[in-house]
Amino acid sequence: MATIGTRLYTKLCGALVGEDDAGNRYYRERWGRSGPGERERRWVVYEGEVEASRVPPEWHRWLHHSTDEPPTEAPLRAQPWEKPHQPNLTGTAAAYRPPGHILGRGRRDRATGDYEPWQPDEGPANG
Amino acid sequence: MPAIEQTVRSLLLTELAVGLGVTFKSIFKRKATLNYPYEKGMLSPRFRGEHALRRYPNGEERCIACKLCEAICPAQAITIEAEPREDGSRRTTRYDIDMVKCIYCGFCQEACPVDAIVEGPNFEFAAETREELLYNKEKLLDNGDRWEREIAANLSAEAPYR
Repeated sequence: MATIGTRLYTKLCGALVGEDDAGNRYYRERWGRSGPGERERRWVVYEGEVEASRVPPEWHRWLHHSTDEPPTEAPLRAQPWEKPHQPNLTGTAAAYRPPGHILGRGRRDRATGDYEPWQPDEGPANG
Repeated sequence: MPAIEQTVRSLLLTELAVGLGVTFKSIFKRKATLNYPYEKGMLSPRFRGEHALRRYPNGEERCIACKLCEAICPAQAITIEAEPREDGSRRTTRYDIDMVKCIYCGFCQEACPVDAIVEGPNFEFAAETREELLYNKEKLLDNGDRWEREIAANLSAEAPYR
């Protein structure tokens, strides 16, 4: 849930634009100034935890003013192999860790190819 | 005259009133600040954020292990190892980006002949530990699968200028 100020502003001035799959609701100003050099205000009221990375890509694009058309008007084309959006998972058990990490699973890949390890018997590399 | 004028000014505290007037006027001006994380700043479609490896529309990974990105990377943040796959096509067996070394210059996506490595629009990938920023191929492909919609839209928005 949003802060009191944001909630009040949403009630007074917000015009609902749409809602994403996670239930986050997106607003713009009801009487938006959109002249040259003026950007309209766009904001999101999160459903549940207030976490900036919970905005999915199609709304991310609109919320960051990269486009003027919200995905309700111009939906982005999705490929069948796309995966659902994920917030930043750092700090949780599901966070990404490279294989071989002390808290993770798997083994680190062996270095191969163009990597030459230094051997202590050979002495300093450049004499 | 200046002496009298200064005495009058200091007695009547006119500077104070003028200063308060400026403060009062800016109450009605539009705020320059953003109510993050509810409101977010403007991003260009060219924005260079978190990296992602893309796929072709049929789901095949684009990267052909040409290693141009590895060669051009000024911070030497990219490590690639490649082998022919079972079907004979040339693919990477390892594609690591050290996001801590990376300087987000965008040379890798400029160098890529097949638009495989791109810097996506996401910048909210801060991590608690340094290790979480050592991305491997799996993580980069996963980023691509989750952000493809926006990456493709941004690339097509930029296409007329390239």
